[in-house]
Amino acid sequence: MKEFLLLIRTAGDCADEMSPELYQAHFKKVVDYIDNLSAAGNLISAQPLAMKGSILQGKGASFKDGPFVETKEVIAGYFLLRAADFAEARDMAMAHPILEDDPVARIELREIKRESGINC
Amino acid sequence: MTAQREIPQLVDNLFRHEAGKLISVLTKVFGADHMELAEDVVQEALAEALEHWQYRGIPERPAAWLYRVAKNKALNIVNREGYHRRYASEVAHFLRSEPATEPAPYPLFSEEEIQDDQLRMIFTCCHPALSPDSQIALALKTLCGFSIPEIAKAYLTTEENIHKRLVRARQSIRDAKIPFEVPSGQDLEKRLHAVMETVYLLFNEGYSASKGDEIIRYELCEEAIRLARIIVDDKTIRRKETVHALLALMFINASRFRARQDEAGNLLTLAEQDRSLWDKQLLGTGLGHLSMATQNESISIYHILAAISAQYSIAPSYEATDWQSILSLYDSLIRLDDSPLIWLNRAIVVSKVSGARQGLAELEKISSHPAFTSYHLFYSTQAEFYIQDGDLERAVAALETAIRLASVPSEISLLEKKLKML
Repeated sequence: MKEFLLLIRTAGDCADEMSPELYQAHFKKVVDYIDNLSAAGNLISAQPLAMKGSILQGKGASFKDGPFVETKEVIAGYFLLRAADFAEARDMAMAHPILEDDPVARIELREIKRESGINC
Repeated sequence: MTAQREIPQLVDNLFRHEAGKLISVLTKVFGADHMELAEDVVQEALAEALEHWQYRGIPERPAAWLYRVAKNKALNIVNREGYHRRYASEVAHFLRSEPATEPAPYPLFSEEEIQDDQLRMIFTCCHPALSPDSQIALALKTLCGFSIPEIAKAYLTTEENIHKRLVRARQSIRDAKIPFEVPSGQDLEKRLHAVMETVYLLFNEGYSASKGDEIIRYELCEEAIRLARIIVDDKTIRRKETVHALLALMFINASRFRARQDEAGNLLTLAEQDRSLWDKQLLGTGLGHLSMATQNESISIYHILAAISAQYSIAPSYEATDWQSILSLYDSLIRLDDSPLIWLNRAIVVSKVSGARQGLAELEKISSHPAFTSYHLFYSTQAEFYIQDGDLERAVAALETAIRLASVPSEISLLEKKLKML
């Protein structure tokens, strides 16, 4: 099995964009989605990220405080998944309800790189 | 807007009631004059729950999770500047005395304490210093976890209007220095009476309207019943016959809720309703409360109204209704509440017992009452009696008056249909 990092990228807090009814329906779908991943043993961990943060560049650089509106996109949270291969992980990512409910949301999927020689 | 975003409506009733419980507990901690602070803390806790649970899933004990987060937020807020130091330290002491680790039970958040706090909240919201409209809006917001848009929807009014009512309600609580407590001694009976009036008003708000969202209307009825049950479950209030009577009335009426309207949304009279749609379980619960209510000789308007409603419900058919019993119940009712509307309803029952002409004579007795000069139902009732008596000329005149006075479109079209048939 391999591990994958799934980053949820949204334009701000998606709750602000959706109507309360849509957000409620969305919330229920996401909870089901997590339950399914969990039950199948694919979910290692997941957390939301605070909207505020800093970007640092270069030694002694000045902090650049977020939220990083100029990029119009923030990482709202991440999922760490377990999957047989990239294709399977991509199917899991594609099933996340946010792709359907928030048209500007994007999901980035990256495989966690292992040292060569480790069997898994 | 983010902090004020209405969260309770986002997740179903369980969540909604958790919010109501939490606000009650925290209002005890903060004091009734800081009720809004409790509302804000709970709002924030719910927002945080939604955010976390979208990644972590819903925890095994969501209520405990919410309590813990709300408590921490409460501590953070009172520690922030802006609060009087002694007030803040008292509140912080209160919150800190709670064990901080799970799964140790929180005495402050034990089922029993929560129940008591909700009862205190009921008495605070239904304090006579607040206008009835404000009482209901505040109860729906704090005890029932309704959002402002939902309350506005239920009342067919604007969100701004509801917002103003809530502001006025909280101001009245501060101005009148209303304590967060259940009154005791002689005060209790008087205040309990006021609470029941508000609860019944809330119920009728959901039950009697002919327009608006049916789902939210039914929820208002359910909430009224839930609040009355909190009172009836309390161990310190001893005389609860009247509360049982009110519960009986609400349950029995609620059992007919689904049958009240046809598919087009028109209200149906008891004679027109499909009795197979009546909910037997709710009726049974209502009759159970009615027998609890009549265990001693105390009698209230709710007792009689419940008994009348029960008579209608237990009759095998509309025609087979025991009109004689209902008439004597109306006679008792008039001794407690001598209001024109009850006389009007009594006249209808009289016509069932003794014929339309007798009903017309009863109407004649009350026709000069100022309440009826502009009340369409008086004239439509009169028209009905004239029709039954064969006096079509007078029936037409009465119907025309009723149509002129009616304001709800569905009622007007019903009256016009009747007029055409003459």
